Amino acid sequence: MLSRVPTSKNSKILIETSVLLAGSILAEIPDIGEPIKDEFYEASQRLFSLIRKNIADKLGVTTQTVEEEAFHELQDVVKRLVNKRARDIPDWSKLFPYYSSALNICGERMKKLRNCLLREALMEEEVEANVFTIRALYYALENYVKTDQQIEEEVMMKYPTTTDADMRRAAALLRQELANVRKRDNIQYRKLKDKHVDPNDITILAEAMHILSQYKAERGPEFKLYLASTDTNHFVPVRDPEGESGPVTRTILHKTGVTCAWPDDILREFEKEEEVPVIEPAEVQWSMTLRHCSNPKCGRLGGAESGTCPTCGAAFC
Amino acid sequence: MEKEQKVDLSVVPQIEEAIQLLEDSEREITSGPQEDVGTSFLAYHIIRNVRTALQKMKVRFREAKEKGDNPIVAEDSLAIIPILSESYEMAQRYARGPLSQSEESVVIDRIRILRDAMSSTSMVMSEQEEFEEQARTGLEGEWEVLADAVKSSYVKEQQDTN
Repeated sequence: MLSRVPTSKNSKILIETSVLLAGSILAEIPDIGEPIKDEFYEASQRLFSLIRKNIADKLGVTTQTVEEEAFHELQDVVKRLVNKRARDIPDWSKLFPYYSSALNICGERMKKLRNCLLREALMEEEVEANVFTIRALYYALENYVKTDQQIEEEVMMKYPTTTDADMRRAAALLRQELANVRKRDNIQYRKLKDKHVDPNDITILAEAMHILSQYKAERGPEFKLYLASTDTNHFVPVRDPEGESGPVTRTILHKTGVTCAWPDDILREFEKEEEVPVIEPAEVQWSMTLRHCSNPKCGRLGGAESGTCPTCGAAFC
Repeated sequence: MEKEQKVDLSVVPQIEEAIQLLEDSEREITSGPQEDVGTSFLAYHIIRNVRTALQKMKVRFREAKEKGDNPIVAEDSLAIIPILSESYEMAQRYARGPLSQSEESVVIDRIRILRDAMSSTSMVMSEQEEFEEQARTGLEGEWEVLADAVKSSYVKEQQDTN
């Protein structure tokens, strides 16, 4: 049976574009102290360290869509940035050699990261079928977004005011609690609505669904696929000082089985210790008395000590 | 040269000539009027990579005898020259922009093909060499700007949602 704690045997980590990009942005400029890096560079690198440790089991996986999107995104970001910076810097021609070097440095880092990942084989028809499911899922989720007033009205409908004073107090508390939960969930719904999901993100999730179904068929229903991402609009929960907001992430898990998670959350899952069954003292005693002399004519019972029978010299078993 | 397994150094002046032409193209792009700076940058990026690949090639030809790099350098050069040539032509064609989305996608795919070909034929500049070229521009602090730009490409700030 598969263990509940994720290991390289019972799970895979699909690296999404944002993690690949974050892990590529590092500049260790000679003669300048602190290296400059993406905010999620360290988290991305720690995840890649785990993947490298389990390279024989091919723990980290990717798809052609992710690889191409990451490369295109890097070029596109730099192109837009050069366009913008050219308006701020009078001698803008210097930007060209500078950013051309930066692109090459980051591109080579990205290539090194890609090389630790297994590119999964995919059945295009099955991915296409999943694309319809995922598109419908995101479309439905976008429409869950509500204003604070709508949330309060809905909550009021659910727990209307009563004439009984005790019931009124209880209903007010429940209303408050429910409104807080719904407002928190609303944060991720609103992010999704603000930044519509693009076709590549839909394809990546559709591919993830297909990859998971292939592994489940081969390794059993408890097999787990993590989608490592830092994209809070479409995949992982929004984090802020007050906590997390992840109704989109939860719905993706519920409908597709794919666990979208931040790189550090995935690492924590993998660092969990496997639960070792505790053997009660009585059971230990019982298992000890099972040891006996292998000579059928002797059959002397032994203790926990291994070795030979003191009566006939035969081995204990 | 490949058949004879000998390095013919007469190829080096021809490579130098091509490098000179590419440097002129780089200067032309960065000094001409700009309709679309971003697109010109992509064209420049291709031409600069073609030029640095040729510079690597030149060094390898020069050092081939002492490093025993022949006929590998000749084979690598024959493999990459058509890709360098096609890439340069494409960059020239699109240098002035503006590009449609599909044209831009083709240009970015070309950059990927070019960089992969450069890697597989050992014509890529090292990270150290890239940083040295950057240092010559005299720009500082642009890496922070780049890191921020990459982050904001996939993470929308929290205040956007409120």
